[in-house]
Amino acid sequence: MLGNWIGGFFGSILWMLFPSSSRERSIRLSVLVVLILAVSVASLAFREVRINLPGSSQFTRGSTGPLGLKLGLDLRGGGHLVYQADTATRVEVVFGEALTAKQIVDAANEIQIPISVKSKGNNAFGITSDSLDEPTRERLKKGLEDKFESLQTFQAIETPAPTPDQMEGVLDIINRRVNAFGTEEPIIQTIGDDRIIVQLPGATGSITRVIFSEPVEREDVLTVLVRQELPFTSLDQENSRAYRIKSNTLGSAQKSELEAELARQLGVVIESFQVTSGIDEAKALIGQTALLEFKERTCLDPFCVEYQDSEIGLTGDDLERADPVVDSTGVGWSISIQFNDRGSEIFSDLTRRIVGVESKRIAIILDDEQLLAPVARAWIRDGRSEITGNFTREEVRTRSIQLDSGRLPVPLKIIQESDVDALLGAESLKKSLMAGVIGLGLVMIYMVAYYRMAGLVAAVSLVVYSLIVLAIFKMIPITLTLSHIGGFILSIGMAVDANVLIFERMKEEVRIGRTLASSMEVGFNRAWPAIRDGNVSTLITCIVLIWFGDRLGGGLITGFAISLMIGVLASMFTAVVVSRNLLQLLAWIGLGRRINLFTPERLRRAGDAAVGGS
Amino acid sequence: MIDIVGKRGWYFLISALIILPGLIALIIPPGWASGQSGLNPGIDFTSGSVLQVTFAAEVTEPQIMERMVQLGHSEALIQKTGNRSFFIRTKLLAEPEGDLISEREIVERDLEEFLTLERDKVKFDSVSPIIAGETVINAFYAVLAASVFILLYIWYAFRRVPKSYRYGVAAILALVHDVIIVIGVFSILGKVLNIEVNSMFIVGVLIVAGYSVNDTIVVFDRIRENTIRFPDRNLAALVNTSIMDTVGRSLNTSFTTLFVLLALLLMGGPSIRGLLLVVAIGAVAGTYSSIFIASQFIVIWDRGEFGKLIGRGRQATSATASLLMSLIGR
Repeated sequence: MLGNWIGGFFGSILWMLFPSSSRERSIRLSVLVVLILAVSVASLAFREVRINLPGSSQFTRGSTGPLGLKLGLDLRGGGHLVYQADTATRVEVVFGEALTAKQIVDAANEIQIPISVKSKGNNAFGITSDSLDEPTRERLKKGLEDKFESLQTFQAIETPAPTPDQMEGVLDIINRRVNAFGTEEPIIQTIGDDRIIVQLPGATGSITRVIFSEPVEREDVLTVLVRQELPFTSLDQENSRAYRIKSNTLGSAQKSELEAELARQLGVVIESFQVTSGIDEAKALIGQTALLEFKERTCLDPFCVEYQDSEIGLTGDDLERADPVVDSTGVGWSISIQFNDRGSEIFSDLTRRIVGVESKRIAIILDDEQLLAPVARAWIRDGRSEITGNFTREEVRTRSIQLDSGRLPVPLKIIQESDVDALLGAESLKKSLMAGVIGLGLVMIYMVAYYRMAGLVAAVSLVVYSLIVLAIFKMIPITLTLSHIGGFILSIGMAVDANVLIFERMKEEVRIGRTLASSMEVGFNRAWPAIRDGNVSTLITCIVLIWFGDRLGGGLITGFAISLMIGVLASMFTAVVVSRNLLQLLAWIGLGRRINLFTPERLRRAGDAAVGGS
Repeated sequence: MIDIVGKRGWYFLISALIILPGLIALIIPPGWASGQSGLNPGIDFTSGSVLQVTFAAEVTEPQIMERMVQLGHSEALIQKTGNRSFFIRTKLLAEPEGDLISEREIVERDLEEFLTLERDKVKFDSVSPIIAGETVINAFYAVLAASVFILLYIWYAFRRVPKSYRYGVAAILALVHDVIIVIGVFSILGKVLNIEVNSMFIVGVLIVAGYSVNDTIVVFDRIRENTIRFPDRNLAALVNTSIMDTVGRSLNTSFTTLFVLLALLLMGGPSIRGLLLVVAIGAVAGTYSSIFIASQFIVIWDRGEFGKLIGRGRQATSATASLLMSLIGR
């Protein structure tokens, strides 16, 4: 049924594209334009578009922005963080005399090694610098020795560049932490070898933690918030007395008012009232190194739904490696883990105690979340064991990476950050929508004033153009940022240019005495190579920009280039198909004889003169 | 018909007069001569933090500066961007660590307490030195790569015209011309008005590059068409005719582009204002260069008149030198 329909659809497109006469082609193309326009309008008219594809999953598009467009952080507010694996050299130094951090920095500066130094008390300092190679480290050591003879300890720790698996592990950890933080639609992805982009819509703002002295109903807290007209986005109950409120950034006046009103209206005493910046909290959460723990689990029921975990002092630090391996049957997959000496001892002790005990498990927990809880099948003395189960290859791989990331924390540092408050985002959105409308309006007025009827055609095709581009933005879907809108508005200019080229050529043909209809045809054909070549070179620029985008300040330039590219492609379509057909339609319905409607008076006279002169 | 091609040497003189002061601004220290960019780099290229803030009450730049100095940020640069709104640029603000709140939080709280900062309308950007260094060099490669591909494309697209690679080279020459004008103007603006360049500036330069080629191609397209139609006429006459044929379109497109830029200006956002200026300058330069540089260059190459250019170049150098001397003398 649907197959037939799809077949019919493509069939009709073919029929439209390969016509027999020019009039027929024109009619068919007009039908195509109307179809595309209808699809565009329909896709924009409904906030959410859902199509059930036969056999496969559902196609759903639509978001919270105007026309159901998806908005980027700068238009809706949020935090954009770029992390990089920190491949620093860290050196612990201890001196026998009292020194300041600055003295050490100066000493390193003298031998041209930029470092930063933190005092750790008792004449001990932590030195951090960009990754140093062996000779440079030696030079630093010697430099410090020469300067301060009392140097006692010099211990360097290298953090090597992370492997792809480690990066995947870090990505996984960030993913889980961000989900725990509770942001909607976060974007977390790696770029390059060692960078991770984290986008947290709505993370800018305040997080208020209130602990009341006695239990309070959630409903009541909610009522107070609403009555206070507090711009809050969520209210979470942590326990009967503790609540977490996410809201727009609160000013200090708002804070104290909120605290006072909560206490007054609910008639309770507030034990603790803490307001933190949402983005700082998210950063703190993301930036922690992962904590992998092994615990002894005692099941309280046969299915181990209820249990108690007890610490045995075994952590990710004791794990030497975790790898996916083919299990002993040669068919399934299992995870091989190996502990270091200390870990092996503890693990040996644990497995000896719990092997064969029905109610005991080994709980493996990463960041307070259970990864695995296997049963001990044997007493493992050498710290080498295999975790088996009905694992797929993919599961085994994921779990190994997770275990590894817990074992080997890859330190991250923020190298780029951009946060926009929600209110500011809304303002930018309003302004840029206005800019789009005004830009389009000015261009239309100019076109109509200059080219009359043809200008009107250009104006109509600009509207069609805008609708198509917006529909494409929604359907791909593209997350719109200010730079996308910039690119879009600029591409309006390009769309107009194509029309201008056609009309100028048309005018020339009218001047040499052709009828309007044939002027249109010839003018169009003459204008086409310039439109094509100009647009192709713009497309080349766009592609280069997208290609370099990641390395040119990231999303900003990519966004711009993508929307410009979509704009250029759509503008070629509207100029070639929409403007042309509209002009032809006008010519047929009889307006063709009234040439003065198409060219300005002053130019027509100039045209007459030119005809006369030739 | 107006004889545009006949005066071709003069256009290069005019361009040189516009380009030279910019180039000088780029070169004199702190510029290329001392290993710097010659531009006034924003945080995107140097690392640092920028707070874009709005206050509820009237606040002056010195007032903000006073608070920043109190907070130990005497390096802060304050710039008014609109009614009650400002840019505050500082060195990289510290992240929160342990129980310590972030430096940004400290600054915001202070400005709220003393100067009525609106806490819920803040934009914060920070860039570390790692990202900053990469951007510029990558932008350069991007322009280079785009130029090479465009050159190849034009060479191909004009293959029916004799010596079609010349059109590609001329288009790239016009592109470089426009880009250098834009960069030069911003070098001067950076020194005189302290205008900074950011990533948006790079976006702008790339738009200018695209616009320039687009514009040049329209004129070249006419030359291509006329060359094929009238193979017997000499190139100078063909180029002149082609320019006259396309001048209407060039002006109309420039106008509409400027309208669009006007609309973008209303979109506001201080971060986008620099971009607008870049594109506006570039649009004018692009229209000029397509008619007076790229097309004329084709004629000059055809006639082997490079000596004439050098002569004009000398004139330009001495004219600029005397202009600068008179400025310094004053």
